[in-house]
Amino acid sequence: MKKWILFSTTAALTIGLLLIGIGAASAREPVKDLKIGFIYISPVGDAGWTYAHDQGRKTLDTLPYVKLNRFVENVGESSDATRVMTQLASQGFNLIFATSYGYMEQCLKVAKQFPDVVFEHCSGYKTAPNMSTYFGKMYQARYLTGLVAGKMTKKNVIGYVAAHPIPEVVRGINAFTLGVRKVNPEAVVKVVWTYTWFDPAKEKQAAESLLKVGADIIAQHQDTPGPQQAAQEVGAYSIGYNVDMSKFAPKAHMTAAVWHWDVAYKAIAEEVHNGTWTNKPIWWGLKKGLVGLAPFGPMVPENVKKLVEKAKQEIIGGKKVFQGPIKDQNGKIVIPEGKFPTDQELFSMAYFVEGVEGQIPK
Amino acid sequence: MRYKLEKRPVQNPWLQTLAVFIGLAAALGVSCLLIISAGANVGEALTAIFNGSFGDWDALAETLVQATPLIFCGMAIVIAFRARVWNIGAEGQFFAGAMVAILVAMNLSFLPRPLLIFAIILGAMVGGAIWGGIPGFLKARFNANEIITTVMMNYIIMFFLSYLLSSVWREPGHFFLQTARIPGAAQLPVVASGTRLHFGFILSLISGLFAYLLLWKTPLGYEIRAVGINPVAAQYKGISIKKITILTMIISGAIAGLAGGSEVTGLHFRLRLDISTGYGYTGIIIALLGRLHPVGVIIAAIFFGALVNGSTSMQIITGVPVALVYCVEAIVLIFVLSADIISRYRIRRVRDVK
Repeated sequence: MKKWILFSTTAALTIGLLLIGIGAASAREPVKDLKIGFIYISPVGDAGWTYAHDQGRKTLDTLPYVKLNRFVENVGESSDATRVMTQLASQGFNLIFATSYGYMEQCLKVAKQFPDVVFEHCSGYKTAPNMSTYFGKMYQARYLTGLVAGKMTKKNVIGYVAAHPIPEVVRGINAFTLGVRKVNPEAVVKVVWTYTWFDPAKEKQAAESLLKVGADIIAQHQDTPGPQQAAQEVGAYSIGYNVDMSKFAPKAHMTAAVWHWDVAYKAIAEEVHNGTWTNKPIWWGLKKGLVGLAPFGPMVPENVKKLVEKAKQEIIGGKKVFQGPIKDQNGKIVIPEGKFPTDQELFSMAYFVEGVEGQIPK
Repeated sequence: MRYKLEKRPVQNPWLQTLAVFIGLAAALGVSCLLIISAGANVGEALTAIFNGSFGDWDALAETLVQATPLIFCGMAIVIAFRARVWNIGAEGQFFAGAMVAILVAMNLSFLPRPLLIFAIILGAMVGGAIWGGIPGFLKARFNANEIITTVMMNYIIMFFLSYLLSSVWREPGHFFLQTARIPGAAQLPVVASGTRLHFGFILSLISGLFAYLLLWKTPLGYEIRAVGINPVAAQYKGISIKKITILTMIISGAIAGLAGGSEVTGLHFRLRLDISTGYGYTGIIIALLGRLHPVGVIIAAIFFGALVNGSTSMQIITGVPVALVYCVEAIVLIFVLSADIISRYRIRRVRDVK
């Protein structure tokens, strides 16, 4: 536990320093022709995380200065990533996107070898003069989907299939639960860990186990629509992630918390092209449109849609999702009345809020 | 009227070699059709595969890095299959070896480096030998089908490792299912500076030499092959099939374990569940393509390593999905094995005698 706290604090401090811009490198030379390479953890057909990134990547083709725009899929978070990124860099690619948290160390290593290439790593916290990190405030969209789930549950039990117990996932579960409890203080959110981002069968099994213990809505922090299908099979409702997953479970899918990566990718490509790129991390939310909601399914009534739309506009207008008082699972106040957690605290979130049933492994 | 597959009365080694090349050419042809159907230029795609795998020293070194675990696993399979012991568990033995190697690397790092490396290599072999020896014993003692037991042992070790990595072996302060990085002294030395080609590659070649000497230059190897060719005759000659079964599985497991030890201390420097992309299973394909001969295994493994490396390059240059390369691997296997059989056997029409 102590080491965990140490790690979290270090991570938080690092991010904090980066966010306020200390250590940000000065702008670089403009790059006339961009050759952009992406590495993906799963196949582009995963219908989730990688698919969302690839949709964003494709929009880069519309930029006149993008000469080459390629991806390599199914790259493991092992030394495989080093191999592929080295190949990309040595073949003349000058902007490389590494789209999984587990690529962080490898990306840093390759970035040092190729100082003229710009590296962008998704969802991490380490940077270098030619490497930055980008991510979005997905918790804002999670909160909105939580409102939907809280309104729609009849048994007051919502299942949440979660990948790895890292702050990003924990933050999402907490924001979702805050949304649920805002409209339905009786409801609980049960969490199951799969320890994998991408494993269609395992994700689906986890959802099935949650449905068996009484959940009537399934939410997920996973890469594939497996959990959505599990919900549809037993006539439950579901909330997707990454992209609109309605075509995989049209009867279950109420909405989804989705990524619009094109927003970040176009901005980064333009900066690198103009020479205005710095390693200042990107951390955008609903306002910039990096995250959002998928269209509602026919089962969601008008009054719920209106409620969600109102909350969305409030967040765009500056309202915070995490706002004290917030209690943890044991009823202890973790964020006092009137206080807001800092970004550093959000980045190192390691507790579940009241209403979550499940544990974060120590 | 019926047809019969029978051995050609005269076995022509030239014809058999030619057949492999014809098989390869046919496989290449079909693969090109796939590339065209994926909407890419064949010339561009093939050039990309070649440049990405043998184009320069870096690419060649990386191809050999990819070939290393395949050479080990191929050798492991050759020894088992020569005795007609169907070891489908090289994948599990790979992980058993990797686990013991990590244990040694973590706990004996106070040893002087050469001794430490030696202990790691030995540990990896012991780990694999135990995991291979168990199904060997079960086969010899209870006649338990080794195809089933070795496959089940693969699952056991993966779940056991998954448990260890989520609890006691997990890197402190981190969330992913992986151990901490092993100390520098426990890492196998790099043999070509500036690349990732490590000592494991040399070891894999030694394992090939060992397999050759064992099978063709020792009494034990003679017995292994004798049991494989004709177990009944071997038994009449006084060869203990049980002993050969157990020994074969131990040796086969030790080599597969070495593959795991070499990957974890030469390339990844930490143990994760995804350090093998099915090497233990691909090893079977490699062994069959290499016609159960060490030299053939080395060639086939380098070919597959080149495909892994070249396919990344192909996807970068042409946008053809990597999945296509999995098809190419299977196509090569089917064509080469078919060509091999056609060169050794012939189809004859037999008239039923009234």
